Amino acid sequence: MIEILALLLGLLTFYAAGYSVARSIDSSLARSHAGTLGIALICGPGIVAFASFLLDVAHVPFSPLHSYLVSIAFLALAVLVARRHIARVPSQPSAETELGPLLPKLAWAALFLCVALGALFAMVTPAIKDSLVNWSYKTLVLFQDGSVRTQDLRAEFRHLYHPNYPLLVPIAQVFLFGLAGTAIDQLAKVTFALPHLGVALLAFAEFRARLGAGRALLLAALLATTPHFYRADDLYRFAGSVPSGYADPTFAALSGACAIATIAWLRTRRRGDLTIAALFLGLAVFTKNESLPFAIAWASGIAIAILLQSRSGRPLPDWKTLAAAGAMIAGIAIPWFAVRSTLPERDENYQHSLTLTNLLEGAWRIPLILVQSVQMMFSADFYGFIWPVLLLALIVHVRRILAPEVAFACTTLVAMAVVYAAVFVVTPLPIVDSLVTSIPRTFFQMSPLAVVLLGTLLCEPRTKDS
Amino acid sequence: MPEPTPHVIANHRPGRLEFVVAAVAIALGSFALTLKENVFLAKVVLEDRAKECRAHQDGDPAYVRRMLEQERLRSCDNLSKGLLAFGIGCLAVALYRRRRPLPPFTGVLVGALAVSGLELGHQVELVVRGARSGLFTESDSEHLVRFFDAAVEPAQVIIDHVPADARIVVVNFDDPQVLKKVQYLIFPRRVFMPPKVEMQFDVRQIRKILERMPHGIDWCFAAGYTHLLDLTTLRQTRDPSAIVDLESLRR
Repeated sequence: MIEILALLLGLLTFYAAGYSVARSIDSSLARSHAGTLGIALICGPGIVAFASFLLDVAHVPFSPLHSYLVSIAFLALAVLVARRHIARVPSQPSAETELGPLLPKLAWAALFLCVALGALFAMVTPAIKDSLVNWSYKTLVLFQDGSVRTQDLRAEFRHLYHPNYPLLVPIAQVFLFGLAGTAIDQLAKVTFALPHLGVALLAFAEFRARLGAGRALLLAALLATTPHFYRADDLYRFAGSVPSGYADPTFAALSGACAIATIAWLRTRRRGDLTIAALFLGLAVFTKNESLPFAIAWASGIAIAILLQSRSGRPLPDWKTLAAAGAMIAGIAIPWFAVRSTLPERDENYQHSLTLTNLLEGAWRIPLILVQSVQMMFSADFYGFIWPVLLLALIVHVRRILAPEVAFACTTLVAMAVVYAAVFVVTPLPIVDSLVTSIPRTFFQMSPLAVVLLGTLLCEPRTKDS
Repeated sequence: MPEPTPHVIANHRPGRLEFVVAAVAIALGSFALTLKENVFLAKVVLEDRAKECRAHQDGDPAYVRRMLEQERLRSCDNLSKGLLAFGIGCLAVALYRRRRPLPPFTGVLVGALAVSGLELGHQVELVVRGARSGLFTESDSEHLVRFFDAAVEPAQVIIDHVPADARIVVVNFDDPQVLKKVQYLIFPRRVFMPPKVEMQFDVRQIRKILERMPHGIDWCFAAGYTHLLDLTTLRQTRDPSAIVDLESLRR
């Protein structure tokens, strides 16, 4: 019972932390209830984990006291910022007026049912072996030793894989362990389900203005019902799902949310939108190493979108907006990279492996990767029909590809896919094993981006008047 | 300044896209169903892939072949079901649009949701079956076993989690048929770990790992790493009744 109460307090703290951010940054996404909740659910665990990380760096080790201090601080902050007035968007026609009475209810039910199933399966099934050594066991070590300075991350003879992996997910769980006073490793996995709900709500909040509530809701439901996110049966061992215990759901949600906030910024040019996109990206850097290629893909997408916008007469973004975004990313990334530089680089090191020689040597794998990728795109039991529907939308609306928002989403997605393919080309692991265990995760990570691209493709082209 | 909300596009021809997409999806889905039975084309592709894999790595050909075969069957089955659900979803919306105007592409999105709904239904069924078998009332590691026992074929779960060269596996099943299947299928699997990393493990480290593990998930971990540890040490560290030597299963 105490463990359940501790979990609930932890979840409330996550929400309070995310809510404080949503209310503090002047983002157009936070002007609706769905957007505020979405930002809170996505950012909450990350902000709490980052605050705990900074406290640990300042020699306040992980402990129950540490967790309760963080919890009280964020709950108090939420109470303070709740008084801040935020202008809400004017009320818009509901999904019901567009789609009729039944369909919206079904879509909402499916959305919440999937998140509930993900949370339930996370609590009753164990983490799989690979995620155990990379994430869950690291969580236990941090909790028991109380610091990222533990010798288990640094010693020569060690038992942890990838000691320099980002620590958002382990520390968010350590925070919950601290509240409970014990390792509630099963219950803590419920955390992984929340950001995915958040990104679905954020997609709804952003696309509602352009697509109408009906189709925005269908897009959000499509994202939340991605089977790979929540499933837990004989195939649950495939990496990436919430029950399997990986950091992938959190990273997928953060990268998807970053893309959504960027699209909002391209539309509104409001500084808060890019700042919150940068916050999502910074937290993604603290979540998984895949955030580094994502950051490059994201920056490339923005550059192309701005170029297209400037051709149609929109001014270039002001330097203060870009500086605020850069500062936000650096504020999270620099402390993490400073600690990471003290951790040993072991196991697979793809930054160093991506050389021309390795790419040429592994070029024979490309057809294999392509075949497997096509098969993944049509794996209905993993991703539903997100990818086939995206292909269909690209065919039907090919003329919209040069719209700035579409170009941004498309560039980001394609660049991510190319980087992932390159990693499979150079991986030192046997390619068949590597593809079978890792390619589902890469497609899962890109699923929110695919839904974002789909949403932008469905938007009617903007006229100069709008 | 709020942006205008696009609603129904009045001059969009009702349901035309949905009708075309539904027809194609249902036709392809039906074809994929037949493909499941007549796998000539798929076999040709898979033979090529298996050959290529064998040429470039020292993998066990039987393992590669079996893995690809299972993958093909699963993909084909799910794709055919998905296409049919997608087509039916599109068709339903296309017919509905004749009575009530809807925004464009709605049918395609509903069709895609219908595909996800298939999997959602399957997972809800798992929960119901798990609940009936006591999944949510047991507190120890047995709940996991019971969950899979209720949900899927338990042998497959063990096979999925145990590397081929693991010598010690925690097996909680009494059913000899399950053990026989594990015994038969487990050996082609390989340890998914670079050799140099394996060599860095020693008994002290593994004991430390096992001591830190919370109760209930030790078998999953033990299956992967304890092949460097003798059985006696493991039995002293963890619950001895939960540990079965895979070598004895071989005999």
